[in-house]
Amino acid sequence: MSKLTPTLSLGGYTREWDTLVLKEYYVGEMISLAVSHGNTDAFSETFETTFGKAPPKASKLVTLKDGFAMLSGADQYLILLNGENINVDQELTKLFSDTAYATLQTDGWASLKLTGPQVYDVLERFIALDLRNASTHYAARTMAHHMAVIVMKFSETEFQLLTPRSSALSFLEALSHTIDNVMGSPS
Amino acid sequence: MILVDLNKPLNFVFDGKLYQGFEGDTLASALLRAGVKVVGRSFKYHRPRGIMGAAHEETNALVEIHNDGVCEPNRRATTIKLFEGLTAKSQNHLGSVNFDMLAINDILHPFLAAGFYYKTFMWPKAFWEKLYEPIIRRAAGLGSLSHKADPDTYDKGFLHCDILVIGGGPAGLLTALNLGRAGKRVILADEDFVMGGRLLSETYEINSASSVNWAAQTVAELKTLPNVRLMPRTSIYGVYDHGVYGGLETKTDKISERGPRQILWRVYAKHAVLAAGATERPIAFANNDRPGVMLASAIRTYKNRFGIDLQNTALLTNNDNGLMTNAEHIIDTRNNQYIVDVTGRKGVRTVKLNNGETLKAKHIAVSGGWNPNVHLTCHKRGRPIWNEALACFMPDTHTLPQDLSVIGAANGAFSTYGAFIEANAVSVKLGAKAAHLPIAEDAPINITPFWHVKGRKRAWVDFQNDVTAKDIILAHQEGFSSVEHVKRYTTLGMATDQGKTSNVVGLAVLAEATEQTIPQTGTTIFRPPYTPVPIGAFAGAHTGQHFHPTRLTPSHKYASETGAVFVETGNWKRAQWFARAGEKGWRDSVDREVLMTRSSVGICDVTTLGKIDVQGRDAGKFLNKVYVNTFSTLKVGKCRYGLMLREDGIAMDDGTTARLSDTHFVLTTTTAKAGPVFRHLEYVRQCLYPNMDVHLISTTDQWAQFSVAGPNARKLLQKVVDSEFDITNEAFPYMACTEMTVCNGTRARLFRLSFSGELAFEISVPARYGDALVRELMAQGEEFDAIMYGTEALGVMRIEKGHAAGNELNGTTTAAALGLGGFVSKKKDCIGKVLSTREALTGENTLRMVGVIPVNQGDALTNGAHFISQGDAETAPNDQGYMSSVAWSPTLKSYIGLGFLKNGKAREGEVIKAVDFVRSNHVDVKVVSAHFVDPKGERLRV
Amino acid sequence: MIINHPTLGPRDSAEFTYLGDAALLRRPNPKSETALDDFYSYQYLRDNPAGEHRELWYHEQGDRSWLVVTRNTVTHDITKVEFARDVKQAMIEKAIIKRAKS
Repeated sequence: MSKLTPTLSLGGYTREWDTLVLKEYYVGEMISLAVSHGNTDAFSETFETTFGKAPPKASKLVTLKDGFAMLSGADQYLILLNGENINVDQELTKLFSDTAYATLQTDGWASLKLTGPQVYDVLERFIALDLRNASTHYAARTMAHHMAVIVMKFSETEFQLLTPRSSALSFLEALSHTIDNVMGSPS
Repeated sequence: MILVDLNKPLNFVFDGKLYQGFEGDTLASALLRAGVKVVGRSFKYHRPRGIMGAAHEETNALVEIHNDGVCEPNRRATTIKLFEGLTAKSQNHLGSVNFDMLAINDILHPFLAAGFYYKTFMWPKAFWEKLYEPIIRRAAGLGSLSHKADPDTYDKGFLHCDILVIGGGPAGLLTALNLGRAGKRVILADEDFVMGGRLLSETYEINSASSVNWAAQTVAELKTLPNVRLMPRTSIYGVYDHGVYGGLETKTDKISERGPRQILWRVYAKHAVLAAGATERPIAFANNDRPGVMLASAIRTYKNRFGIDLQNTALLTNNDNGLMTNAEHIIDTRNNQYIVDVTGRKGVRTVKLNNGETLKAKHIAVSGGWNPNVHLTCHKRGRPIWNEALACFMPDTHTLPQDLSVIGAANGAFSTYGAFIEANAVSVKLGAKAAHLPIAEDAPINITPFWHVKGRKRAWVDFQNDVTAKDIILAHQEGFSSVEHVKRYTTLGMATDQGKTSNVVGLAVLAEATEQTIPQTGTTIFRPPYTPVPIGAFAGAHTGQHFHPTRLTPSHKYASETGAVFVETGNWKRAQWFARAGEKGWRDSVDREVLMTRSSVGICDVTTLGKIDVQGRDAGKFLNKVYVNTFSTLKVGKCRYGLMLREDGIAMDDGTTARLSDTHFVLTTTTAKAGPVFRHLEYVRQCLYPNMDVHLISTTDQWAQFSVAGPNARKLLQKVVDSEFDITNEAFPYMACTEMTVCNGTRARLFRLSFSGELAFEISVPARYGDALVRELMAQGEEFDAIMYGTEALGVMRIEKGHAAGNELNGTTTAAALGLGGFVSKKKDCIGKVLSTREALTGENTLRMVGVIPVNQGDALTNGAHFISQGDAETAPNDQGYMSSVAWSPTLKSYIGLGFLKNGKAREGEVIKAVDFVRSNHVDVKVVSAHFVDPKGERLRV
Repeated sequence: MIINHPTLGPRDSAEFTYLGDAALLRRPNPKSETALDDFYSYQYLRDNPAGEHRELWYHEQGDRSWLVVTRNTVTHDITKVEFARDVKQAMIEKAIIKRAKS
């Protein structure tokens, strides 16, 4: 029997509107880490040992050796790691032993990068949060056009957006349509 | 200084005739310049009407814009920015606007007074539906509809600022300037396409130069400030909780122009400054609605901003502000002068005064005083208060929200200098420096209230809804004396202008009739929207296919390629069946899918069923709390069916839960309940048992999951499961589960579960491999004639098996009704346990799930039919229960059904009636076990 | 409407779903002799005040936390937003202390 080939959520989508670019963008793997009740300190220690930084605080990305981390729930973190490694959650389960519980999340999300000087003009038609005023590495989970979105600000001209895989095509349609409204149809 | 560019002509069509206007014109100004007097017919009496205002207070010049076969009705000609090729039509006439056949209504006016429809059209009764109602329907409404889909698109957006300044007149402009210079994030919104407000329409001077210059210079400086956002053609239409404001920005009046026509903005502001100005009100006198009778301020706007000199004007005023209007005759009520009649049906000809004099005039400029635009202060329950000296309603500072300030004419400061003083004051309050006060006029209004001229002839108060002073007095005479009753009885203030020019005059007339003061009479409340907002703008991009997001399964592409017909299940698109060439209808496909699955092997995408990862030391304990049965005892590597109750004891959802390790469970839900169950579980976790070590996360999208069912299911799977994993019956019995790999090392999970009743497995891979897996399974399945099956076949098979699904877990059934009473653990509490023991939910004569089969094999069953015992009359008191699921069973070659029957468990074998009054289908059925196929469950366990 | 989330800051109420009176946090003892009556009141009877109301909101499109929001049903002013699990935790501790004293 043959090996299975993976499929990208958005088929490698990429489109340009003048200097504004929207494209599907994958880092590697995503894992949810839930802190075991009563083991916060032990968890933080293991986190720092494993990733090289203290666990992030609310609404702010922390840069790790090989990726990023954000607080996704009161006792839950979302880790984004470079490189393909489909068993990474099982590896983290072993590393964190009884201080945290890991769940693979990569396939549950589609990922897009939006870059260009007009990012704010676009995003203010799409997401209700005050992104202009947010600092670099602001990260938040919210909604856009009735779909969940995790928005991450990397600079004044670079944002990454994550959205659930099953509705990713609808999300992409909504976002590209919004960009058409702001920029006019693409070149 | 006029703001019209006479070097840029624009051609437009009105009522089929070609005219020319200029860049900077509104449709109204262009029509006035072209000498068009009659622009519409009034609502009820069909009287000829002309333009009376210059902005959103316009009541008469309601037109339709046409383009591309689409018609947009009820637009004020005064707010349409003229563009090349505009085509507009007047409204509300049968025949031409100049020869309206319905003008007969004007002659019949004594019979058409306020509330006439409550007193007429009553006899004969039969005439109502056949004659009166159709006539009234045709006559009602103003504009017409094209019945075509709206070709325009709309967008929505979200803005954040420190201060939202509402209104770009002198007060708003100076406030924005001060705050902008202080580095605050400011949004300045104005409905007009040029900022400046009243400054653009008067001949004021600011710092010894035209006030228009001051406005332009201020706007120019504001444009250089990156922290200031100017929003012309943006109406702030609503004030909502916690500093949220609704705004409607109009990009173009052109229909079918590319790009969104309008944008609906939600503005989050820490503070708002209402500098919305004031609107002039008229005085009511006999025949004051004739074309040519206009607001004095409008006449000045048309002269000063649009360069249109309306000659032969008589001015009627009760204040000094009106005296700024150029007029050949001045009629000042403060000198006991007023107008008693006007002649000229299609345009003013003569004016009769109270002293007997008759004047020749073409226009009458009317100034009855100014109403501060307080509307937005009322959206959060504020009530304006009456100011005796200024004879107007003012915002009540005591009921204003803390984060809303009112300045300028909206606050009764009618002069330019007054506006600047208040602008500086609020700027300082909001943390900026006050600007050096510009030199500007500071004229007092000096008003002596004069509301209407009493007389026998009709004097109009609400022009748009054709409400006269007589109507208001009549309402009071008939007992509708409260201001709320008068409004609804006469329809005063209920037109699209929300009574901007009529409310206060109407109140004054009512106050006089009831011999009360205006404050005693009170005022009705203003609610959003301040100006009309198209429903399309609220919908934004969510129209047609985009009404809600679509969720696609990992096999969607493959299914599309292989004949799938899709059904919407919530937001999901699921394959309902797979059509093959030669199949005549859906039954052919579904029957085939059922028969092939039961005889060989079928594959179904079950990814949509909710999957929730439950991890923690107390995961088992937690599941014991939410399920009726026990999960802490479930062994690793096994699955168990679970039933969840609501706290009121009614069944909420069911599913199977697999245990992957001591601290790791994967819980499943039905497709529809995935979201609500997750919410419920988090509620139990956080709100009831915060001390448990248990954590939840959704993995519905993470794992692609396929059911592989049928006698050849294992044989097929053995071709994809990697050889080191033993899935024989001994090694992997019914209800086992394991993590494994497939297709040379791809991570997977296998669950031995069966919804169909056949030997079945559910195989799961990370969704990135979902498409590849389904193709591989079908390729490997060719030797078994493997088929894909959809939700219909899935449904038929589970009904044949007697498995409860959404139809049975319908929000009214209990565990006992579902035949799962014994399943509820007696040893522990769970959500819903206590209330499930209520008397009405237990006991012998309650509903129990049963199977039914028609006595005559050929008879069809219909879902929703009710059960009646043989010999009983088919009436509600004899109701014994109802049919909840029906299917044609290709396996039994008969219709079969599941349903709920009183005391059903004891009635197997009984013949009862299934009666369906809706589809007129009454059938004799036999009560049987719900497990039609393989009742002993032998096929599952091979 | 805006809910000021304790750690995430102000968020539009569109991100939340509403459940009802925070009285739901006081789940009755199922083993009590009066359990049936207690649960009946718990499930169906509400004060419905015109004024300050403590209610449960779920941050569905955010961090999935349950919050106890103190909101005035007349003016809509929100004066407090707390994590429901903290409120429940405090209730549990209070009950433990009460039991220890008796």
